[in-house]
Amino acid sequence: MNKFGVVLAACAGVALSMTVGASLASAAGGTISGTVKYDGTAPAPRKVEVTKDKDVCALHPHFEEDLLVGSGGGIANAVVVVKGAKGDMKPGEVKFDQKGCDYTPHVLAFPAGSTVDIINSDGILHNIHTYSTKNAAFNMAQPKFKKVIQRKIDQPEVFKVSCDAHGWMHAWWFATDTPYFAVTDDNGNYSIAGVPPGNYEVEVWQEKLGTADQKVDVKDGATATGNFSMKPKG
Amino acid sequence: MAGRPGLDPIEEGKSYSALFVLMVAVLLVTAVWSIWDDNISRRPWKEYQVQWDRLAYDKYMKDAADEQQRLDADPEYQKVSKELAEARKERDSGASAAKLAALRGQLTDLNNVANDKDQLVRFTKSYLTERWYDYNHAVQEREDPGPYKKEIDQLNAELAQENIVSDQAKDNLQAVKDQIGALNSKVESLTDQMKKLTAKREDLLDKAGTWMIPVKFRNTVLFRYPKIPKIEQTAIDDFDRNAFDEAIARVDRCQSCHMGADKKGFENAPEPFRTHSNFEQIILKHPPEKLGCTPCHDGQGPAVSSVRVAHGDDPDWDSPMLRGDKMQSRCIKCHIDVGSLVDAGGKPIAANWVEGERMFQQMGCAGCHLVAGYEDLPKIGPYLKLASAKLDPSWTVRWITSPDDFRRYTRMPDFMFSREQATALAAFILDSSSKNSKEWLAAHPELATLEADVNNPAFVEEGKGLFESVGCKGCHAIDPREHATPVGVVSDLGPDRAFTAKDFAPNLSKIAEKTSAAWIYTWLKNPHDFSPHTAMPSLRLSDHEAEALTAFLMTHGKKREIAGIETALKDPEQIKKGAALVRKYGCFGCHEIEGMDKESRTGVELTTFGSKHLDELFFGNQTQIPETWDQWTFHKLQSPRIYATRDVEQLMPNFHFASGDIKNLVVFLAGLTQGRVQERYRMPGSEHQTQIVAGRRMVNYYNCVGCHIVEDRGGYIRRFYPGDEINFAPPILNGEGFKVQPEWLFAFLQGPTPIRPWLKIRMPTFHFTNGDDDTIVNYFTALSDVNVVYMFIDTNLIAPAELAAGVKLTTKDYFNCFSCHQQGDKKPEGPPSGWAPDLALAHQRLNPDWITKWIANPSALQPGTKMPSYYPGGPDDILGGNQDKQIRALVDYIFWLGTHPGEAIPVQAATAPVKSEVSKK
Repeated sequence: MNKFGVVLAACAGVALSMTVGASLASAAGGTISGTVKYDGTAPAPRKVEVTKDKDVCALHPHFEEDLLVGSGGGIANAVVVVKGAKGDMKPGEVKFDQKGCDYTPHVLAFPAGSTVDIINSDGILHNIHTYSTKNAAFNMAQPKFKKVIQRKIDQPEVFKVSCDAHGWMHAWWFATDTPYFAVTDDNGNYSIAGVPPGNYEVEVWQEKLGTADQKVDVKDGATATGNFSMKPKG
Repeated sequence: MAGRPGLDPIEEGKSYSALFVLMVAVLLVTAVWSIWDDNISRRPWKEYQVQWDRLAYDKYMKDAADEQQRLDADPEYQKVSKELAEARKERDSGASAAKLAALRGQLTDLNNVANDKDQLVRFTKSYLTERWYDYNHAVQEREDPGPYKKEIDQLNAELAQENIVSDQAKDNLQAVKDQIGALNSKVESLTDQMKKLTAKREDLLDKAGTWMIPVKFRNTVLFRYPKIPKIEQTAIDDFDRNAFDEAIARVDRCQSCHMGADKKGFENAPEPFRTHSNFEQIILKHPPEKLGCTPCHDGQGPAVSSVRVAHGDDPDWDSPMLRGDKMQSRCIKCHIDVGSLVDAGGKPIAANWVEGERMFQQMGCAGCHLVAGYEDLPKIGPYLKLASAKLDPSWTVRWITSPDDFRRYTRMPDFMFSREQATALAAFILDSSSKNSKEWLAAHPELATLEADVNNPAFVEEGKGLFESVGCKGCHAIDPREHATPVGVVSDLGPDRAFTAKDFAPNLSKIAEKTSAAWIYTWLKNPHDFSPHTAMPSLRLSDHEAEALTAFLMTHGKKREIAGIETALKDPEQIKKGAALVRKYGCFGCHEIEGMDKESRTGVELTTFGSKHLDELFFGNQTQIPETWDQWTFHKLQSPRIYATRDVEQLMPNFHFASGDIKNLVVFLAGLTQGRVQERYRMPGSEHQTQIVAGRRMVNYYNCVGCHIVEDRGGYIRRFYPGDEINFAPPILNGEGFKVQPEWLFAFLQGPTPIRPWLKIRMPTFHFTNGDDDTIVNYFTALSDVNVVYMFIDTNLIAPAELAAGVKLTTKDYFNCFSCHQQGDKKPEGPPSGWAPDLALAHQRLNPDWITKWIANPSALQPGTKMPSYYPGGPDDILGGNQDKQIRALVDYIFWLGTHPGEAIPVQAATAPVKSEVSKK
């Protein structure tokens, strides 16, 4: 038994040093950065009518968030993923807030295995209804008395999240199968650091426009560019 | 040769040795042949058994090796085997071994001593018995027993002494045994542990040994030989009855070759050794050692002489083995509710039979063919006793000539009538109904002047809106390429032939060609006024709504008059000819026709069709069709008059069935067999099963599945509700029997009251007759296996504190129930797609047990529902944070709400201070 324990400890030790080694190596990798642009006329902001719980929800105006194009034509809330890039997933805790009857962020990307802290800052009843298939779907009431619900998302999957009590509230959760991903900022810019050198397929996903991909060559210590242009579907 | 007198020297001199040798040779060959024939050529199963022995042996040995590998990696096994080896070593070496050897040496001596002493005791006891006999004998013979008594006393004294010595010897022996045991104890206890750990491996090795029997020498297997082949047979007593209703046994020897059928683990083995498919449901629930094989499979059970003969694939054998989907036709022999039989994964076991049976019912087969159990099905065709008040004469002639030309997917079959025949039939139908029609029209004078306002686009548009929203589309399509509820299998055969099924209800794309605005209007308003047994319900349309719908429908199609048809239809000759045709072709099988109520079915009875012999099936001149029951039936359904010859007329119309539907019908028909399985072998039917079967017929007849999903089937109208609009679709009725109170459901079926007033679609009012509504209510309760008729909460017994807790839980700071649920006339905020029913209606409608489960986890009862699940554990500041108590308080409050209409919410509950509890995270 003792011997067995020793072997176990030794194995664990080796595994640990390997992961440390891997993360060190990845820290020394290359960077992919670029912009995701919209190939089309930017849609005018579409206002959403608040029909319920106006004392909390109507404090600020609401707009459709399914396609937000910045002044330079960049698309916000697109998820860029370096496909097949291996590395320590480092699942952690990510925050997902319901504030003023909006979801913040509108697109939440995280490595699979992470735990989502679903926060109810509003103090009114919301419900979290997920439309996932690989991960167990749930539809849970989050009343005022429960400020935070935690949900662990184990499988890589992209799925919609909505609130049935407030029909306009929609968001997307993107559980990635790689630690190398980014969500574009308001101007469509993104940057992914520490990617191990190699030739990768880099894919961008946007909830309304679908996906686009391209090959990107990543070299140690260098910055590779991955610019995307997305067209309206159909 | 000096022969004896009378003997012929020449004859005596002949030699027969050649003949003798020849005869011996013939005898030898015959003997060899008979042995060969008896043991080898007619025993192919022996070869299979030897193959099986090797296959099973290899598999079990491999499993045993795998198990050994698992053991080798198991730390506990490693530990025990190491300890066992150490314990053995310790016992068998050094001082311990010497001691053990010494003790074992003593053991033999002590054993001998103990046996000797014991023998002395026994002998003395025997002498005693003898002396006692002498003593008793002496007393009885009146002699002096004195000397014997003396001897007895002396022997008793000896015995006492010997007993002491013997016990001492036994004690000595036991002491040595105990010492040996103590030295062995560790090894023994470890051996026991080892046995437990290796039980599976040993079991597998034993199994391997039953098929390849080992020949051992000193624990070493020298070689193995296959088990001696033996017929494996099951005799089922009293399964069949002969012509004199005497019990006859059935003998099945199938498992003489199919050795692996009842054993798990041979799923990938080649036939005939493969594990039976669907093992859990078929083999475990129908043990072959009790039920054999042929009750379900058919074939020639006792035959083992060849594969072909055993499988009954012989023209002389009546019941060839069933294969593929046709297997499903046997379930009905023992099970009442075949539709509910599912495999381990929940998939229907007899899906083709179920589809076939539904097809048989819905295509009106029982209108012409008598089949026991299906005698009382309602007629599926329109009511023709008022035909002339409804039908356009020219249309009627065209329709009878070729129904498919007018409606491609109609259920009305094609009788291949000539125009002349069709005219005669139309003449009779219109004439026979003219008297009734006149009376009916006289009773509806308003219809004479009713005209559809087809030229008012806004009005037509309003009608279109109604058609699309109130529920017409659950049963009827209006676009010629669209389909509402299908009858039969919907298979995708590419863009041109995407739809192969039939339409449950008429496609209305050309309705104005067929009938008048007046008739449509009155039909929409009250279908049963025109047709007493129709499945068409009333949608409770207002006069205005009915007029708008009529206008919309009258824009679809236009009249096309056949010149001179009126005169032709009035010809008495034609009318007479038409009546004869109706009788010949049996139109009354599907339609109610004036004057034809007493006619009997025109088709052949099919109650035992599945048992028909080949010589009872007439193939006509169709020599290209293989002579089997399956092929005959398939082609008959595909083109019903194919077997007609110059002298043999055939009348069955063509239904233009798709091949998938024919296959299902064939499976159903194959189940219509002769002979009844004895009670003891049948699955005892419950009342619920009978109710489910009866209810399914109703649900199909009234087409509830057009709008609702019932038993995971139907809901065809749901495709018209894209995206979020699905919330406006009719409810899914899976689990309805548990959800609602039967009494409420009964009242609702009688006269629907809106649960969700914001929905545009309406639950129609069906005109249920003969207790059909009871049948439907019982169907739902039986499906949910509910036995309690009414669930009730006495709201006067609810503790005030509990009621207060219930009220509090519904408030904004907690679950905010009225964010979505309607409260009397008060509508919830937000758009109607997010609204939910009035909770005050729940107490009459819903089962409190269902509400309890629903609140806790709605998605488990109705996947995809918008109702969120209860927050696990609930708030800590209500009812001690006990979720079960909180949910019960909510259910109680919901019942209180409904039973105390208009009463204010108790004050202490409504204004109770709410302590907001912020959780730690």
